Amino acid sequence: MGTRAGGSSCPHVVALKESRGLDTFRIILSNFVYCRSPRARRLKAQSCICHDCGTTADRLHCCLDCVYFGCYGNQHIQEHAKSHRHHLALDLSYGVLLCGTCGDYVYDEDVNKVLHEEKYRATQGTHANGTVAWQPSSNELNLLQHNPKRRKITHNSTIGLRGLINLGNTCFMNCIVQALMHTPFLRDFFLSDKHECLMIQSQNHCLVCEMSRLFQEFYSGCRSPHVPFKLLHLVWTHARHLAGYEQQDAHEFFIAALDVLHRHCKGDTDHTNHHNPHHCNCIIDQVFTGGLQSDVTCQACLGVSTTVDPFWDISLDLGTHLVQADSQDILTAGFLTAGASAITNGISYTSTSLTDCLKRFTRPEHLGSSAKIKCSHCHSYQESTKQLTMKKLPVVACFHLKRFEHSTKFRRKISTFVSFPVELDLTPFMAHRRNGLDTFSISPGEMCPTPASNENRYSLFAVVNHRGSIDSGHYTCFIRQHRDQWFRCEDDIITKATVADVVNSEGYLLFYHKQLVEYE
Amino acid sequence: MSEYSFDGSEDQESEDCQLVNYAPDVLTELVDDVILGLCFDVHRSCKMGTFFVDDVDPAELKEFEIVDQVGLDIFGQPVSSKKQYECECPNCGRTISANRFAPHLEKCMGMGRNSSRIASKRLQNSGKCESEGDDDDDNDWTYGEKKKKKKSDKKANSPRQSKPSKSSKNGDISSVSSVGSEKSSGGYVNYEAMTIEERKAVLKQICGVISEHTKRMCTRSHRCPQHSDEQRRQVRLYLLGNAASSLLDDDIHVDIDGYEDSPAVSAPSSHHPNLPKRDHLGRFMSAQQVAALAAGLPWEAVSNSPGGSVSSMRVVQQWETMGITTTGPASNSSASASASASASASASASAGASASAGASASAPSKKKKSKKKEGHTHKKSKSKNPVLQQYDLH
Repeated sequence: MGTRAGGSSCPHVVALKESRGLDTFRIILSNFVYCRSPRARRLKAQSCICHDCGTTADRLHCCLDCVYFGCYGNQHIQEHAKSHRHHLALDLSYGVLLCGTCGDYVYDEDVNKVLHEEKYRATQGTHANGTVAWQPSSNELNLLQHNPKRRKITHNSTIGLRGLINLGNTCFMNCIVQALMHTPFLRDFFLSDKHECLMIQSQNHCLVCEMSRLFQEFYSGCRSPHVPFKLLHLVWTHARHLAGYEQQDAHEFFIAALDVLHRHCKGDTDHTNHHNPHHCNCIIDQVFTGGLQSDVTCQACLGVSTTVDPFWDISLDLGTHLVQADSQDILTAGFLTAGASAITNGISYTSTSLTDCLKRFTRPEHLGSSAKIKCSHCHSYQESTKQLTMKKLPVVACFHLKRFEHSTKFRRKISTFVSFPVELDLTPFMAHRRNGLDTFSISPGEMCPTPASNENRYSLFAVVNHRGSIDSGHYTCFIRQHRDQWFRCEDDIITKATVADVVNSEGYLLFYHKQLVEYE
Repeated sequence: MSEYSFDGSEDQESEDCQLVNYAPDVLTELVDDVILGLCFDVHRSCKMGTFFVDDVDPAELKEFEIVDQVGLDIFGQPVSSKKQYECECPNCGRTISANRFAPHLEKCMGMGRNSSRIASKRLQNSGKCESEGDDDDDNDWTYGEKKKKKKSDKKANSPRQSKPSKSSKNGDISSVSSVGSEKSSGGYVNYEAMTIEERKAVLKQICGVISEHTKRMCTRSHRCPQHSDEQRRQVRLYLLGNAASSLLDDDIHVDIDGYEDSPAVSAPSSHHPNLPKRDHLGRFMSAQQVAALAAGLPWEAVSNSPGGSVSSMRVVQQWETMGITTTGPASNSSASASASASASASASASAGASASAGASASAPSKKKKSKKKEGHTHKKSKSKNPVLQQYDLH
């Protein structure tokens, strides 16, 4: 250890480079280590065997000076190096050079370059050809050597967590900000500095830049709560309908914030694609936008007209309605709830679950005789059924439980308990299920028959809760950090929480993150 | 790997058997390969001198450990610590306490109910007719006002559905485009550069009292509860000089309530010409005194100095120090009337109390603080004034 950065060559490699160059090295690499073709792979399989003992494992090496394969475990390659004075050999698993005379593996800059090139060529078109691990340059190494204090985000570290001061009824904003700060996809995007601000004319007003700064604040290690006054000012400037000092809805704020972020991602110079969500590839669209398929089936000719609309969140009806305590009749037909009923003030609310709500959401709905639609197949006005299913699943799925009811008679908050899982499979609610079936029927225990059902698995990572009545209340949230640690965020106070706390909370906004994210 | 052939004649089961036998070997090779790769990585980093990069300072680790104790948050700080944080308003640059930032910003950006945005807008449109709705926005008392904002872009399930008494807020927001409000936030009046005529025009529309802090005119309406009528008079006299009297004339009118509240005259010249007028003490006034009042002079000034040419500024000041409002301009609101009524009750009561009693009818109690301030300043100079002695009786 302790050699200079950039390589630890040995004189034998230097001599090789000067005399013959690295062509032999390259040839051996491309044929026996990083094979580019099936033919090369077959050749490798057949010829990579120790010439002395016949083993195929045990760290085979290939001599650079002659055609000899020898294993390391039985010292055959070392003996060959000594006896023939062939100093250099090549490890056949990773292409690393072994200098038998020096007795160790050596790393040379030029050799490394060739290695990288060959590896790149061999893995092109496959997923293995992805990111390259970071190797510090000599400058960086120098810096690191002179600054020995280092901070690492371990599983038990507070870095990444920070409280937010309530600026005056802004708990709704704080909760949404906490949820966004702990969205893994967003965090990785901003911490790897991928945002390029296109708001050239008004760079001070870019909400995406402000978000980037927020991430820096959260990961700064600072323990005092952050005052998000600049964020509030920006949001009020760009989303006028939200502005004003009064209590607001967290869900509304979420949608408005996404909208502003989405607009700012595109910058302020190009206005032509303003309302064309399909052509945008900004981070917000990549993370939050899903596609909701709406199928309208004409009852006469059974022709289906399909549209796909983008969505950022799914608002779910809870489906529960007041049930008189003294009567067993359920006022609304067509929903199943399995669960205990809670009796409060003489009115009974049956508890439900998130999957029940989703089933209700994706159920075919008869549109009624007053809403006849002209069918494009049979060209007549017919009654029809409409069904919503998910066509494209977003990376982050946000579910909004409609707890605030505004009917002509009253305004109230529905506090029914809705159970939601930590792991959620959205396969039953996807569009392809509907395409193959005439009626949408799913029994509770039915599993999706497609083999790749892992693709639609989601994990809960943030829950926003509302406590209070429809007129006034307080928002708090639970967020997940470090895989399995949950924290409760109430403005500037962050405390540790358990999974049980989270799952037993009321739930208003539920954020789920896709477990497997595919490459483009 | 030793070779094997896929001969169709071979027994399939024995083939599979053979393959199964090799499975552990395959697995072992794969695992070995992975371990070897890891070893090379570590070896390379050691050789290249980059191995230390991953080291962590144990002291730092300890510092950032999550705390999980009752009564403490994850940073180890007590949950109930009431630390005050401050921030700088991006709009006006003032330092505001963080907990009060949102209401401040609302006013600062001209979005609240009592903000100056509407009045500023009015100033800009001073040539056009104003809509009556603007004044309504300042007033808390109107119920069920016209909802100017379409609710289409608000979700039906938000807890923030407008309540009748607060829908004016939403009306405010929609009735002004963002461009307009941005303009008006900087649209304060530069009174120093204006001519007398311009000042007159402006002062006809707005309260106009110049704030000590910002040196700007208050752009609210004449019924602005934050300022009293004598302040408005003072500023008019200051800005318009002797031309003020004509301005005050135009603005004087009475409402019935005010008249009932105060036995004193609220400049009744326009409405009740034939009824005998009383002053704030309930004494009947002569025609001369009525005229003097109408002209903005206190009747004592008229009676004490028959010449009648008292410097109106000094007189007004005297009145103010006594906590007595004259029949000020635009006294059609209950504020000034009840202010004069309560002034008649006792002069020793601070102007703050009287003004706030009047103000509380039309403004939330948070205005009281500013009133009290004025009261206190008035109190101080009270004792110096010789005119006051006449009122010591009550």
